[in-house]
This record gives sequence, C-alpha cells and structure tokens, in this order.
Amino acid sequence: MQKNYWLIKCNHTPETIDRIMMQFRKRGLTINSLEYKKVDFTSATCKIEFEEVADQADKIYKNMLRSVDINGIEIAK
Amino acid sequence: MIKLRGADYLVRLMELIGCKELFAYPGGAVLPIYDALAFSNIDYILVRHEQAAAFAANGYARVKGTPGFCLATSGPGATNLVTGIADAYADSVPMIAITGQVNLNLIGTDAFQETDITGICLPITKKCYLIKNLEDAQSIFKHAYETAVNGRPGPVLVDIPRSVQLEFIDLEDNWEDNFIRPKYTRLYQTNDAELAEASKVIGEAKKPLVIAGHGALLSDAYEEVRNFVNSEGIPAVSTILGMGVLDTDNPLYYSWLGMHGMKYANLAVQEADLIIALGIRFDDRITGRLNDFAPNAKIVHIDIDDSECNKNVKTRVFIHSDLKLALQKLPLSLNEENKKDRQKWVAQLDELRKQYPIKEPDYDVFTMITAIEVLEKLSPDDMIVATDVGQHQMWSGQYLNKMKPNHFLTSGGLGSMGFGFPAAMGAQSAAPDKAVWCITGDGSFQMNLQELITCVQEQWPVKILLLDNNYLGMVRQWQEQFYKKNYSGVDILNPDYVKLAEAYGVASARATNVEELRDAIELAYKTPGPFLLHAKVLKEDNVLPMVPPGASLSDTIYYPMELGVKNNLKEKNAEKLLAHKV
Repeated sequence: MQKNYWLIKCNHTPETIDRIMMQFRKRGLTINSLEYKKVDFTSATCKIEFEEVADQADKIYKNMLRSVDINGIEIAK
Repeated sequence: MIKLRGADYLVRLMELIGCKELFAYPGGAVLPIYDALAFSNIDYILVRHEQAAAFAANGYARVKGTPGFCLATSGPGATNLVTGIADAYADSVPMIAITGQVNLNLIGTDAFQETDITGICLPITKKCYLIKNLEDAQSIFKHAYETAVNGRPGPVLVDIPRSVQLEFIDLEDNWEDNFIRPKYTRLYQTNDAELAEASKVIGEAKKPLVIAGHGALLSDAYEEVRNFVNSEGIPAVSTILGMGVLDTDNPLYYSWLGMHGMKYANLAVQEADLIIALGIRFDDRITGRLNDFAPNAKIVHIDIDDSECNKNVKTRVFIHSDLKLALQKLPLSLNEENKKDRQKWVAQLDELRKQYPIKEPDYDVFTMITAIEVLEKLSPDDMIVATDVGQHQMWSGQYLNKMKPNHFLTSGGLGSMGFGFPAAMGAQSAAPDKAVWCITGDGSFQMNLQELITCVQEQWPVKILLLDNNYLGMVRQWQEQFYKKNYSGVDILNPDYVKLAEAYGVASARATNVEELRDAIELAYKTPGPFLLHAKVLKEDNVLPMVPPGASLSDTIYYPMELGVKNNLKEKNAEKLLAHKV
C-alpha cells in the first residue's frame, strides 16, 4: 500500500466531487483527504490523498479520466 | 419579446436539438411537458414501461446514427429508465434521457415520487444535469447533446423540476434563429508521427490481426475499416458488437471472437504477433483470461477514449482519435516483403477455419439454430435484428451472416434481458421501411412483452421470433457445465403465447418444426402489422464454441462431434433445404 497524492483539474459542476469520489466508493475504498477549490466560474481543482497499491491506483486513474468533467490528473511522486 | 411557458420552451429546445421521436411515459412531474408535446412536431410514443422507452431509444440511436430520446416522470418513472441508461452507457450509445422532478422547493423533502435521479445515474451516464433556471435550459440541452455524441458516445440525463416547467421565460422574437445548434465534432488527438509509428509496427508484423469493435460502427468508420483490411491484406475478426463492420463473405473476415465466438477467431488472436484493435475496449468476454490473451502480440490500439489506453492490455502504440479520421490518415504499411508474410498468415487462418468450422444445423431437430438460419434465408438482406440476451443471442450472432452495419442490435456490455423487443421497436421507428425482427427467448421476452400493445398502437410491423425452450437456457447451460447439472431456478413456465398475442391484437403462429416455421415466417411477412412467431425448440442444447469463465482463448471448447459428421450434415441439409424450397 502506498500513499497517492493527486491534483485533479476539473470542471466546476454540481456533480464533479461525486464523479471523483465514485471511483473510490465503488471499490469500497476511502480517501484520507480531499481539498476542492473553485478556480473560476467553470473550473476547479481537487487535491486528494488516498492509500492504494500502484496497479489499483492506475485503474482508478483510468476510470476517472473517462469522466467528461475531469480535464487532467497530476500525480505527485 | 415573447413570453413562453417553461414546458413549451423546453419542448421547442428538444425539437431544435434534433428530437423527432421521443419514447416516453407520462406522469405527474412531466404533465406540463406532455401538455406542450401535444402542440409540437415531436412524435412521442407511449411505451408501457419506462425501461422499454430507454431500450427503444437505444435501438433508434444505433439504427439512425443520432441520439435516442426518452422521457419519464419523477420517482419510479425515472428509476425505471435506469437499466436502459446503464445499457447505453455500457455499449456507448448516445442517448438523452429526460426526467421530470418534483418542484424545486420540494427537493429534499421526501416528496411524493421524489428520487435523486441525477445521483442514481451518476455512474451510468456521461453527465447529469438538473435544470434549476429556465435561462440555463438552452445551454444545458446544447451541452447535453454535445456530450452524448462527442468523444466516446453515451447517455446523458436531464432532470427538470415540475416548477421549472411551469415558469415563464421572456425571449427575443427571433430566439430560434439565433439558436446555435449543437455540433458533432470528430476527435483527432493524434499526429502524423504517431500514425507513422503505428504503420511501422504494422508493417513489421508477420501475423497481424485486426479486431474491429462497436467503435467502428459508432464512428461510422466501417468503410475505412474495410478499406484498411482489404488494401493491407490483413485478416480481421470482430467483437459481437462489431458484427456488420466487415462483410461475412469477405475472405479476410474470420467472424467474431470471445466467449461464444468462433474457435478459429480465438485461435487467430492467440497466434497473432500483432493485434490492431479498432474501437474496442478489451472486454473480459473477448479476452478470456487476460494474462493469456494474445500472448505473442504487440498491440496497436486506435480508440476515441484515451482512458482505454493500457486499461486492460498493454499497448505498444495508442492512437487517440476518432477511428474514421485515424484510418483515413494511417499510412499504408504493405510492401513486397510483408505481403508474403500476410499471405502465409491468411493461409494459416484459412486452415484453422476449415479445421474448426461452425456447426451445421441439423434440420431433423428443431433447434434455435435451425430457426435462426431459416429466418435469415427467408428474409431480405437488409433486415434489422435486435436480440435479447441468452443462448438465442449467441446463436443469432453465430448464424446470422448477412447483417449490414448497425443492423444487428444486441445488449453486449450490460447483457440486459428485455432489451430486444423494445430495441426492435426503436429500430422500426428509425427505419420504417425495413424488415425488423426481434429474436428473443422465453425468458427475455417475458421481461418486456407488455410492449406488444405499443406496436399495435403505433402500427409498427415488428416481427418477433420467440425461441421457447422452457428454460432460462444460458443459465441452465452454465448449471449443466459448471454446477453439476443442478438446475436451480431455470425451469420457466410460459403462457400460451399465441393466445397472448391474440389478446393484444397481434397476429401470431406457432411452429414446432422447420416446415411450420417456414410457413409462419411467410405469414409474418404477409402480415402488415406486428407478428409473434412462437417457435417451440429443443429443450436442452448448449451454445458452443465456448471459452469457460476464467479460461484462456486457447482453451475454447469445441463441439463434441467429429468433423465427418458435420460434413455429412452439410450435404443432408443442402438436400433438405432444397426440398423445403427455402
């Protein structure tokens, strides 16, 4: 298990946080922290920290990218 | 300035974004919309269950090539749409589902028929919208349409509180002239260098194999796939949802692969040294045990969704693009050297095809296979078939040989029983002049048979081939093969389908052998309206070939019979067919 720190660039919409969290919830996972910030009228950033092994984290990453509200994910080393 | 009631404005917006047919069911939270629909140009079809509305919208979208629209009221109406929305999401079918919601001020009060439908649909839609202000409706509908069709297509949901439908909005007189219609934009996120790299990898392969999927149909790229296969001389298989991308009489097409695909198609994948994946997502039903999938192959993957890159299999080159555009620009890799390799490879696959042919139906026994074959022989080349889910679905895929692109409709990803009949209705609505058949089983048909009366009311001449084996056949097959024949919950009691059809005012016939079936199909074609053909087929029969769950494609189970027997059958059948003048 490793700690993962992601900076998610996303659209600012009523369902964005749910769409991010959905990827964890459906796997029965919890996250350690989430910091969502509106950037402007249409965009936001979301920092999350969670613990998961690398290959599972990669699957979450892929699934999250499918969301039209997720514009990109920066993974901190 | 003009003043419009919300419901009238919303319905006009639906028209402006292209809604012509709307599969719908009324209720309290959409009454204002229904009031407005009566004065619109939209053909709104009254289904008998909201699930059927969503499946019909799916069938419509696949045949028409534009998003399907469905509408339901709040609460149970909305939740009844859910399976159909999930189905569209699994198969990437563009759909716009519209739901009524309780008044804005009642949201969160556990009001009558209140459900959090945007929350419920979050994991099964590309996007959900709640219209809180009428002023936002225009941009939301436009955005919803563009989201449904652009990139990887899929369903969206627009939830509209009743109070919003009853508000009024002030608009410029010429607001419709100024309305900018939503755009369909083909995605192209690749470049010449990536395409050249893909072409180089393809050129170096000695045993390249195309796998064409639903993406090739969704992006209307089947001509490009055909050109690619033919000009490169590279053999191809498809997924079951990719049926129709390639003509079955193309010698380079080796049918479809996967759990019930052809053994020779599965072995082709295992032998290939390069897989060229065109609009597929490497679903577990086609890969078998993932670790053993295409063990010798590099992967070149072209897909519109970059989240599919390296998702299930490791990709050597990923091209992030609409398939049509990518194939139009992909440089030809054929040269004198690899041409010989490809010819040798094709010859090897031809041998495999000869070694493991699909079983010839035995016309002395009335099985699902014989019924499907006879139906195809008596039907026009451009018939549309919608299947349900189960054994009949797999056999339809195996034995229907002349399906045109987007003419074989099946629930591939979600595998929803009850899909076939409403999807056939949607297809008939999209293509009123074509022969549309629903091939279904006795289990699946009972999930949405209430739609018989919808066909009568709409005068849709949908024909139903109901293959009745008095079992939930696929589950029974698995119980036979993997649970020591412990048949549990599969022995299904059926109504008298001919009487049932009669009660609905639908013409019908029963067939218990090939001769009766042939007569019944002829009668079905002579009948102007819907027709239910109840075919009583062999009770216990197994779909083969089969990749057992968790096994490798290399372990595809083949028929437990000798090839010689099959060849005899072929000759015998030819005589019989001649005698039947089929």
